Amino acid sequence: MPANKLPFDYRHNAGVYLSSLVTSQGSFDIQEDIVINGEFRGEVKTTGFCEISENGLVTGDIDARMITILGSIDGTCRAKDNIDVKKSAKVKGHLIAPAISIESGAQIDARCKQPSSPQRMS
Amino acid sequence: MNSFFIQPTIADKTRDILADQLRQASQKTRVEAEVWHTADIRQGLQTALAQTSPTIVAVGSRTWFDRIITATHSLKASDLPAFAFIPFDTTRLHPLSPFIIRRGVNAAIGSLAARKVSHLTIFQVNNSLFTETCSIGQAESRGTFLAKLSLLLNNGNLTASSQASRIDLSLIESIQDEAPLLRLGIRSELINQSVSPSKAGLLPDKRTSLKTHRFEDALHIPIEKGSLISTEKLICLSHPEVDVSGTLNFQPYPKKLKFITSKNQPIRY
Repeated sequence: MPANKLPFDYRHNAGVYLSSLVTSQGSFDIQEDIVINGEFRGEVKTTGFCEISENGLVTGDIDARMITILGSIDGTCRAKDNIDVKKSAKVKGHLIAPAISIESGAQIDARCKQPSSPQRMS
Repeated sequence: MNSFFIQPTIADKTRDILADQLRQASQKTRVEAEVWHTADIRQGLQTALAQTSPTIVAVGSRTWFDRIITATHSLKASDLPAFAFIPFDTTRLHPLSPFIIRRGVNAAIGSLAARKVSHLTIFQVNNSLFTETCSIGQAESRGTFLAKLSLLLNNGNLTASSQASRIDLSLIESIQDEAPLLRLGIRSELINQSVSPSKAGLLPDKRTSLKTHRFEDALHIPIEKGSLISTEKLICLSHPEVDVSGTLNFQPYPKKLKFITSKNQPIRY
């Protein structure tokens, strides 16, 4: 199995799945994983995992625990844990996360920012 | 789901307390209906329920469920329970004469309530109520159609258009006692036609081609409320008698189906 492929049934396990057959716009504020493989315009806010799959075309902001980008996004991606940009991705806008990984070949026109970790109280 | 059983091995004192509780519960579910003729059962119960019960009541075994659900009539605009009647076929299963019905409806509901009462979450699709999945598809031809959706999410909203072959609506069971949500699933049929590579050079009539049909999950999403528009004529595949033409509105029904089963009946659905 290629490294950037998740198990085949991961889409069915996601709480929300939008395939390449779907064109949509709106806003999500959910606590489940979301997989976007179609055209979506709007905002996504989730406490779970967010994936923009190969055919995903997102215009808007994403706020999630983890974000994996294989498709295209124009907007701000903000993750609590990490953002994973794969080689097939096209990213425009901002990437904000404590850990950001970008695979060679990805088309990036974005500002990357790592928020400073909060200071520990003694 | 609430179930009431009295086990024979239970201590006398506990049994008395339980019996008292059950009597109280059965009083709450008691329906007073004056019905003299079989044809008046529906109207009689409706009238009685409208006056007394805050829930929807169906009396019978689970084997009647399909009949009850699919035989729904239009919901009233008012907030009164509008879904309650004993199916007429019941008279065959339990030969009730009009006289027995008059006395029996009260007694039966009261006594049955002490045996088993189930509260089931249901959902509404246009003017019909469903307990199980509602599958919607095209009337005659196979293939895909364009579905335009307007959805209200738990937090948010979505307008979407999707190619669909089949639309499934079902309730999401929540462990926590939250408001029930609907699960909207859209599946699309994809047809692949492939020609055997070894025969690709042959004349078309000598080639063997393989046509495969497969369904792809186009969309699934938990929703609070939704509506669907399609230019195609749609039918309810699971319950063809339910009208799903025109704009389709769906949402969890605000009331539960209070289902009273007879004596320890096995669940046969």
